[in-house]
Amino acid sequence: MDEFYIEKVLNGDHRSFQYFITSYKSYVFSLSFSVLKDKYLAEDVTQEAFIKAYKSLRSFKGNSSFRTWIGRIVINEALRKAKKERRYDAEEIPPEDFSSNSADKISNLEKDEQRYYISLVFEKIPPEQSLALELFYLKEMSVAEIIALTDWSSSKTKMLLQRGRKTFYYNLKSMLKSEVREIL
Amino acid sequence: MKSDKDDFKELLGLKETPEPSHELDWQIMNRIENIANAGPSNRHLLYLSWAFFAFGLLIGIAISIFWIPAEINIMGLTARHLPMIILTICTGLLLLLFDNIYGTLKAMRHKH
Repeated sequence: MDEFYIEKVLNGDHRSFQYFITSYKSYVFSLSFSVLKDKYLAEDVTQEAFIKAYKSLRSFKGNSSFRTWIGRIVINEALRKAKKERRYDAEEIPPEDFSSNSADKISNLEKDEQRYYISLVFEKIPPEQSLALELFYLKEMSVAEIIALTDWSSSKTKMLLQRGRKTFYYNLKSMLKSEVREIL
Repeated sequence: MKSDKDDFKELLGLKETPEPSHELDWQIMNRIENIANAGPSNRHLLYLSWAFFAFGLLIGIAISIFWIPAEINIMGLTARHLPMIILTICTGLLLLLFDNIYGTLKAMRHKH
Protein backbone atom coordinates (compact mmCIF):
# COMPACT_ATOMS: atom_id res chain seq x y z
CA MET A 1 0.00 0.00 0.00
CA ASP A 2 2.81 2.43 0.92
CA GLU A 3 4.48 1.93 -2.46
CA PHE A 4 1.24 2.78 -4.25
CA TYR A 5 0.94 6.12 -2.45
CA ILE A 6 4.65 6.88 -2.79
CA GLU A 7 4.26 6.46 -6.53
CA LYS A 8 1.23 8.76 -6.54
CA VAL A 9 3.02 11.50 -4.60
CA LEU A 10 6.08 11.24 -6.82
CA ASN A 11 3.83 11.59 -9.86
CA GLY A 12 2.66 14.97 -8.59
CA ASP A 13 -0.39 14.09 -6.50
CA HIS A 14 0.82 15.75 -3.31
CA ARG A 15 -2.58 15.30 -1.63
CA SER A 16 -1.91 11.56 -1.47
CA PHE A 17 0.68 12.32 1.19
CA GLN A 18 -2.28 12.58 3.58
CA TYR A 19 -2.26 8.76 3.63
CA PHE A 20 1.17 8.73 5.28
CA ILE A 21 0.16 11.36 7.81
CA THR A 22 -2.95 9.41 8.78
CA SER A 23 -1.10 6.09 8.94
CA TYR A 24 2.08 7.13 10.72
CA LYS A 25 1.20 10.23 12.73
CA SER A 26 0.80 8.41 16.04
CA TYR A 27 3.93 6.32 15.51
CA VAL A 28 6.05 9.33 14.58
CA PHE A 29 4.64 11.39 17.44
CA SER A 30 5.23 8.67 20.05
CA LEU A 31 8.88 8.28 18.98
CA SER A 32 9.34 12.01 19.10
CA PHE A 33 7.62 12.28 22.48
CA SER A 34 9.73 9.52 24.00
CA VAL A 35 12.83 11.58 23.21
CA LEU A 36 11.52 15.07 23.99
CA LYS A 37 8.86 14.40 26.65
CA ASP A 38 7.05 17.58 25.71
CA LYS A 39 3.87 17.49 23.65
CA TYR A 40 4.48 20.73 21.77
CA LEU A 41 8.11 20.06 20.95
CA ALA A 42 7.14 16.54 19.88
CA GLU A 43 4.45 17.95 17.58
CA ASP A 44 6.96 20.38 16.04
CA VAL A 45 9.38 17.56 15.36
CA THR A 46 6.58 15.36 13.98
CA GLN A 47 5.70 18.13 11.55
CA GLU A 48 9.33 18.65 10.50
CA ALA A 49 9.84 14.91 10.03
CA PHE A 50 6.85 14.64 7.67
CA ILE A 51 7.97 17.70 5.69
CA LYS A 52 11.46 16.26 5.39
CA ALA A 53 10.02 12.91 4.30
CA TYR A 54 7.90 14.65 1.66
CA LYS A 55 10.84 16.65 0.33
CA SER A 56 13.17 13.67 0.15
CA LEU A 57 10.63 11.05 -0.91
CA ARG A 58 12.46 10.68 -4.22
CA SER A 59 15.52 9.45 -2.34
CA PHE A 60 13.50 6.68 -0.65
CA LYS A 61 14.78 3.56 -2.39
CA GLY A 62 12.61 1.01 -0.61
CA ASN A 63 15.56 -0.83 0.97
CA SER A 64 13.69 -0.62 4.26
CA SER A 65 10.00 -0.09 4.95
CA PHE A 66 8.54 3.42 4.88
CA ARG A 67 7.88 3.02 8.62
CA THR A 68 11.58 2.42 9.34
CA TRP A 69 12.60 5.22 6.99
CA ILE A 70 10.38 7.87 8.58
CA GLY A 71 11.24 6.47 12.02
CA ARG A 72 14.89 7.19 11.30
CA ILE A 73 14.06 10.72 10.16
CA VAL A 74 12.05 11.53 13.26
CA ILE A 75 14.62 10.03 15.64
CA ASN A 76 17.40 12.13 14.11
CA GLU A 77 15.25 15.26 14.23
CA ALA A 78 14.14 14.63 17.81
CA LEU A 79 17.65 13.90 19.10
CA ARG A 80 18.93 17.05 17.37
CA LYS A 81 16.16 19.08 18.95
CA ALA A 82 16.83 17.55 22.38
CA LYS A 83 20.50 18.44 22.06
CA LYS A 84 19.58 21.98 21.07
CA GLU A 85 17.16 22.38 23.95
CA ARG A 86 19.75 20.93 26.40
CA ARG A 87 17.02 20.21 28.91
CA TYR A 88 18.27 16.84 30.00
CA ASP A 89 21.36 16.57 32.14
CA ALA A 90 22.41 13.05 32.94
CA GLU A 91 22.77 12.39 36.64
CA GLU A 92 25.50 10.20 38.07
CA ILE A 93 23.88 6.99 39.29
CA PRO A 94 25.44 4.98 42.11
CA PRO A 95 26.09 1.29 41.28
CA GLU A 96 23.33 -0.19 43.39
CA ASP A 97 20.33 -2.34 42.64
CA PHE A 98 17.05 -0.76 43.67
CA SER A 99 14.72 -2.33 41.13
CA SER A 100 12.55 -4.58 43.30
CA ASN A 101 12.56 -2.13 46.19
CA SER A 102 11.16 0.82 44.20
CA ALA A 103 8.81 -1.37 42.16
CA ASP A 104 7.26 -2.65 45.38
CA LYS A 105 6.83 0.85 46.73
CA ILE A 106 5.06 2.12 43.66
CA SER A 107 2.67 -0.83 43.58
CA ASN A 108 1.27 0.35 46.92
CA LEU A 109 0.05 3.56 45.31
CA GLU A 110 -3.25 4.25 43.54
CA LYS A 111 -3.28 3.74 39.76
CA ASP A 112 -3.52 7.48 39.04
CA GLU A 113 -0.64 8.23 41.37
CA GLN A 114 1.40 5.47 39.79
CA ARG A 115 0.80 6.99 36.36
CA TYR A 116 1.77 10.41 37.65
CA TYR A 117 5.05 9.25 39.17
CA ILE A 118 6.05 7.04 36.27
CA SER A 119 5.46 9.93 33.83
CA LEU A 120 7.55 12.25 36.01
CA VAL A 121 10.32 9.68 36.26
CA PHE A 122 10.29 9.11 32.50
CA GLU A 123 10.75 12.85 31.94
CA LYS A 124 14.06 12.71 33.80
CA ILE A 125 15.61 9.99 31.66
CA PRO A 126 18.11 11.25 29.03
CA PRO A 127 16.69 11.22 25.45
CA GLU A 128 18.65 8.29 23.99
CA GLN A 129 17.99 6.09 27.02
CA SER A 130 14.27 6.84 27.05
CA LEU A 131 14.07 6.18 23.32
CA ALA A 132 15.80 2.81 23.78
CA LEU A 133 13.37 1.90 26.57
CA GLU A 134 10.35 2.97 24.52
CA LEU A 135 11.45 0.93 21.49
CA PHE A 136 12.44 -2.19 23.42
CA TYR A 137 9.76 -2.41 26.10
CA LEU A 138 6.75 -0.60 24.71
CA LYS A 139 7.11 -1.02 20.95
CA GLU A 140 8.49 -4.51 21.62
CA MET A 141 11.30 -4.24 19.10
CA SER A 142 14.27 -6.58 19.20
CA VAL A 143 17.80 -5.20 19.62
CA ALA A 144 18.42 -5.91 15.92
CA GLU A 145 15.33 -3.90 14.94
CA ILE A 146 16.42 -1.01 17.16
CA ILE A 147 19.85 -1.06 15.54
CA ALA A 148 18.27 -0.97 12.07
CA LEU A 149 16.11 1.98 13.08
CA THR A 150 18.63 4.07 14.96
CA ASP A 151 22.01 3.12 13.44
CA TRP A 152 23.37 2.57 16.95
CA SER A 153 25.88 -0.20 17.51
CA SER A 154 24.80 -3.35 19.31
CA SER A 155 26.87 -2.51 22.40
CA LYS A 156 25.52 1.05 22.51
CA THR A 157 21.93 -0.21 22.31
CA LYS A 158 22.47 -2.71 25.11
CA MET A 159 24.28 -0.11 27.21
CA LEU A 160 21.44 2.42 26.71
CA LEU A 161 18.85 -0.16 27.74
CA GLN A 162 20.80 -1.10 30.84
CA ARG A 163 21.49 2.51 31.84
CA GLY A 164 17.91 3.50 31.01
CA ARG A 165 16.55 0.92 33.43
CA LYS A 166 18.99 1.97 36.10
CA THR A 167 18.18 5.67 35.64
CA PHE A 168 14.48 4.86 35.73
CA TYR A 169 14.68 2.97 39.02
CA TYR A 170 17.10 5.47 40.52
CA ASN A 171 14.79 8.40 39.75
CA LEU A 172 11.77 6.45 40.91
CA LYS A 173 13.46 5.68 44.21
CA SER A 174 14.56 9.29 44.80
CA MET A 175 11.12 10.57 43.88
CA LEU A 176 9.29 8.19 46.21
CA LYS A 177 11.76 8.95 48.97
CA SER A 178 11.21 12.71 48.69
CA GLU A 179 7.45 12.11 48.56
CA VAL A 180 7.54 10.14 51.83
CA ARG A 181 9.65 12.90 53.37
CA GLU A 182 7.05 15.49 52.32
CA ILE A 183 4.18 13.49 53.84
CA LEU A 184 6.07 13.05 57.15
CA MET B 1 5.53 -16.40 36.29
CA LYS B 2 6.35 -12.82 35.35
CA SER B 3 9.93 -12.01 34.42
CA ASP B 4 11.87 -8.87 35.32
CA LYS B 5 11.32 -7.66 31.79
CA ASP B 6 7.53 -8.04 32.10
CA ASP B 7 7.55 -6.18 35.41
CA PHE B 8 9.54 -3.34 33.96
CA LYS B 9 7.40 -3.24 30.83
CA GLU B 10 4.28 -3.00 32.97
CA LEU B 11 5.78 -0.22 35.05
CA LEU B 12 6.99 1.73 32.03
CA GLY B 13 3.64 1.23 30.32
CA LEU B 14 2.05 3.37 33.04
CA LYS B 15 3.63 6.53 31.69
CA GLU B 16 1.22 8.88 30.04
CA THR B 17 1.77 9.57 26.35
CA PRO B 18 -0.46 12.36 25.04
CA GLU B 19 -2.18 12.12 21.67
CA PRO B 20 -1.04 14.48 18.93
CA SER B 21 -3.56 17.26 18.28
CA HIS B 22 -6.00 17.02 15.36
CA GLU B 23 -4.72 20.27 13.88
CA LEU B 24 -1.37 18.63 13.24
CA ASP B 25 -2.79 16.85 10.16
CA TRP B 26 -3.86 19.99 8.37
CA GLN B 27 -0.83 21.95 9.53
CA ILE B 28 1.42 19.40 7.83
CA MET B 29 -0.81 19.19 4.73
CA ASN B 30 -0.92 22.98 4.55
CA ARG B 31 2.85 23.18 4.49
CA ILE B 32 3.04 20.42 1.90
CA GLU B 33 0.48 22.27 -0.21
CA ASN B 34 2.66 25.40 -0.01
CA ILE B 35 5.78 23.49 -0.97
CA ALA B 36 4.03 21.76 -3.88
CA ASN B 37 2.62 25.04 -5.23
CA ALA B 38 5.69 27.16 -4.60
CA GLY B 39 7.91 28.44 -7.40
CA PRO B 40 11.60 27.69 -7.66
CA SER B 41 13.42 27.42 -4.36
CA ASN B 42 16.22 29.75 -3.22
CA ARG B 43 18.73 27.13 -4.21
CA HIS B 44 17.35 26.92 -7.74
CA LEU B 45 17.43 30.70 -8.05
CA LEU B 46 21.06 30.68 -6.98
CA TYR B 47 21.96 28.10 -9.63
CA LEU B 48 20.07 30.18 -12.18
CA SER B 49 21.98 33.32 -11.27
CA TRP B 50 25.27 31.43 -11.61
CA ALA B 51 24.24 30.24 -15.05
CA PHE B 52 23.34 33.79 -16.14
CA PHE B 53 26.60 35.09 -14.77
CA ALA B 54 28.70 32.53 -16.67
CA PHE B 55 26.70 33.14 -19.84
CA GLY B 56 27.16 36.94 -19.55
CA LEU B 57 30.88 36.53 -18.97
CA LEU B 58 31.33 34.41 -22.09
CA ILE B 59 29.28 36.78 -24.25
CA GLY B 60 31.20 39.80 -22.88
CA ILE B 61 34.56 38.26 -23.69
CA ALA B 62 33.37 37.14 -27.14
CA ILE B 63 32.08 40.64 -27.99
CA SER B 64 35.24 42.31 -26.77
CA ILE B 65 37.47 39.99 -28.81
CA PHE B 66 35.56 39.80 -32.07
CA TRP B 67 33.30 42.81 -32.50
CA ILE B 68 34.98 45.89 -31.04
CA PRO B 69 37.10 47.77 -33.59
CA ALA B 70 40.78 47.66 -32.79
CA GLU B 71 41.27 51.38 -33.47
CA ILE B 72 39.29 52.46 -30.37
CA ASN B 73 41.66 54.04 -27.87
CA ILE B 74 40.51 55.51 -24.59
CA MET B 75 43.28 56.85 -22.39
CA GLY B 76 45.72 54.36 -23.83
CA LEU B 77 43.36 51.40 -23.38
CA THR B 78 42.60 49.66 -26.65
CA ALA B 79 40.20 46.83 -27.53
CA ARG B 80 43.04 44.42 -26.82
CA HIS B 81 42.76 45.32 -23.11
CA LEU B 82 39.00 44.82 -22.98
CA PRO B 83 38.97 41.08 -22.11
CA MET B 84 41.30 41.82 -19.21
CA ILE B 85 39.08 44.67 -17.99
CA ILE B 86 35.95 42.54 -18.25
CA LEU B 87 37.65 39.66 -16.47
CA THR B 88 38.76 41.93 -13.63
CA ILE B 89 35.25 43.34 -13.18
CA CYS B 90 33.70 39.87 -13.39
CA THR B 91 36.15 38.45 -10.86
CA GLY B 92 35.18 41.22 -8.47
CA LEU B 93 31.51 40.49 -9.08
CA LEU B 94 32.17 36.78 -8.69
CA LEU B 95 33.73 37.37 -5.26
CA LEU B 96 30.75 39.49 -4.22
CA LEU B 97 28.34 36.84 -5.52
CA PHE B 98 30.26 34.10 -3.74
CA ASP B 99 30.08 36.03 -0.49
CA ASN B 100 26.36 36.49 -1.03
CA ILE B 101 25.80 32.80 -1.84
CA TYR B 102 27.87 31.71 1.14
CA GLY B 103 25.84 34.00 3.39
CA THR B 104 22.55 32.74 1.95
CA LEU B 105 23.52 29.10 2.30
CA LYS B 106 24.67 29.69 5.86
CA ALA B 107 21.38 31.38 6.67
CA MET B 108 19.43 28.54 5.02
CA ARG B 109 21.35 25.92 6.98
CA HIS B 110 20.78 27.85 10.19
CA LYS B 111 17.07 28.09 9.41
CA HIS B 112 16.80 24.31 8.97
